[in-house]
Amino acid sequence: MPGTEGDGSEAVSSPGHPSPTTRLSTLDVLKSALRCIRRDPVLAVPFAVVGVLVSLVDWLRQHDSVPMVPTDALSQSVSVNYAVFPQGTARTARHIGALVDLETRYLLWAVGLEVLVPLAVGIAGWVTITRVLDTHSGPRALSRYLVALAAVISIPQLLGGFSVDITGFLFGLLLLAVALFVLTRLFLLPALLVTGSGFVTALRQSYRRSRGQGMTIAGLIIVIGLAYWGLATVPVAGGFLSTAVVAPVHAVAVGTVFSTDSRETAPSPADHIESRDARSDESQ
Amino acid sequence: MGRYDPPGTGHNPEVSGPKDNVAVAWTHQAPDWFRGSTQPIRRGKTLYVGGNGLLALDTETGKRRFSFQGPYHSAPAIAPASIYQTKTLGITGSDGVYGLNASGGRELPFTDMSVGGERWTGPQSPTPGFFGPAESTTPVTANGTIYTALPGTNSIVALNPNSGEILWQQTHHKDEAVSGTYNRPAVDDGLVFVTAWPQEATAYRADTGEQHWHRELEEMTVLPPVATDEGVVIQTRESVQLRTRSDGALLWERNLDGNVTDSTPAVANGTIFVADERESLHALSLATGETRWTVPFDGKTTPVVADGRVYAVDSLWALEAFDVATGEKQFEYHPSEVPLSPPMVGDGMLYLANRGRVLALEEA
Repeated sequence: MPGTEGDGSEAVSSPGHPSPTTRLSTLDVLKSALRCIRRDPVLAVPFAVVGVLVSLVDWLRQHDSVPMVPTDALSQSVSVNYAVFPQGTARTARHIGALVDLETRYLLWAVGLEVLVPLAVGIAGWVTITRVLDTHSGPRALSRYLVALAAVISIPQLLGGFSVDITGFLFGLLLLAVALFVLTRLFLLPALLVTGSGFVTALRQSYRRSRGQGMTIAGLIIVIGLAYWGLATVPVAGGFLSTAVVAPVHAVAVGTVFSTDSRETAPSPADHIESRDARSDESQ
Repeated sequence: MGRYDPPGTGHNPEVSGPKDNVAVAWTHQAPDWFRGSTQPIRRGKTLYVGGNGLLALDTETGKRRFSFQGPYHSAPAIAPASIYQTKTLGITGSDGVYGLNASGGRELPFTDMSVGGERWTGPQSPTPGFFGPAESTTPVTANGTIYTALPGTNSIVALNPNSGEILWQQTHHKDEAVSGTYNRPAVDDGLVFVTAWPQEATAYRADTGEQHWHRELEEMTVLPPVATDEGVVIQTRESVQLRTRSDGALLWERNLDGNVTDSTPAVANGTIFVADERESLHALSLATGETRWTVPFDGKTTPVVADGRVYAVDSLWALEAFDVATGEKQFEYHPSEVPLSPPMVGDGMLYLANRGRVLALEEA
């Protein structure tokens, strides 16, 4: 397994306090992210709220009159359900074809539901990453984050989904490798948008700053993607679990990798949390 | 819908077709993916044809209004969709049941793509087994509901045209590996009449799916039923019978010594038109089963009736027209390609799917 402890990644000076020059393994990043959330449980709150919303929307989609489909990934025997921005996997989906020629009130209802979830997911991701990076970004950064999230969600819908018939094992492996490479290079995009970078700068920086951490990030993508999918398969509560449990870890992991890369210029998320804890202790 | 009306009579009393001979009015050369063999349907000036996708053509010119490829093979059934501004087309393929937008959806600007052609994917068929993909089944619309056999299963389903939601589902021989898919249902006056191999003839309540009656016939092979005021016409491999609507009791049975495996009767003005798949097409009295006329006809067929003519495509390749009253053959038409679908009659024309194209035939 690439990027795990003892697989060649450079040594970590002490768990939770990586030295400024070290590169974290996949496991280190996940441990660090979980530690961050344990020390600052507020980090889990935004996606917990969104998880409830995702479950509610799943229920509404199943009970209103507009056509819906079960999420494709849930019918797979195994799936890595990863989409650059922290977001859970809902148990239902609504294809754009179901919205065309709807009567106005049904159209408003259906579009409202489909806009509400990404909006909430976007805000939750932005709030969580902002908090983990202890940064302050304005509404422009938020709007860029939301636009990029909307593009990631809607473009596959408009194109009818990215579906490729894999005719051979080697071709399939090659395709997976290319997809993993692209996703690896986009891993830091949410953090860069949160810190105020423009789209082009964020893409360029994400590409540049993910170099040298490819195996770690690839490991994160696989683990997080499997977790999104695995928890979503839980009947009824899958949408909530996938969003409330995995998305905060994803968001904090993005912040952790970003902070590690920015070590020379910014303190780590753990440091931020500890400093917050310290400030809190001092005030008591 | 296929077979014209929910009862499946194949008789449209409001239209007429070519009477004495035919000539090609127009030919529409379909996209490469199109493979048409099922009956076209018409709504206003639009002709819908299923076949590895959906074609929508102008009935007067044959010009394509829209088309899209997909797993759709049956004749579509037009259903009202209360939450949409346009109708839904219920259609089936070997993979299951689908709901399509009767207006074809919307084109995406600056591309050759469109969205919104398919509204919903309904119940799906199981993975193809030893015998390959399942055959599509013909859906029927009645009382704002789509009724169809589910391809590759022993189930009939009633679906909401808005969403494809299953309103009710009934399955025969649930636990038996060897059994057959339901034929095209006949829906009339609150009842859904269905038949299936082996020996199955059943009536369900259209609103709830509750079984109204069930009969096991003597013969294994049973063809699609036709619902009439006098009773339910059921053709089996050798014979034709009429059963009561109320409890399925046998009113009469007429043995034609047939070998029928793939034909469907038509009923018009008290007469049943039925092939025996050996050597004849018969016109039988609906009241008694007595023969009114018999003419040579050696293949399978699903005839349609309009304005004094019976139009029957023999074995998917030769269109023949007979006088309703006498059985006298009026004309015969052989296309250059096979298969040729059952015709749809309207505005003095016959519309037929013919493999990679759609034909409109007019009076010569």
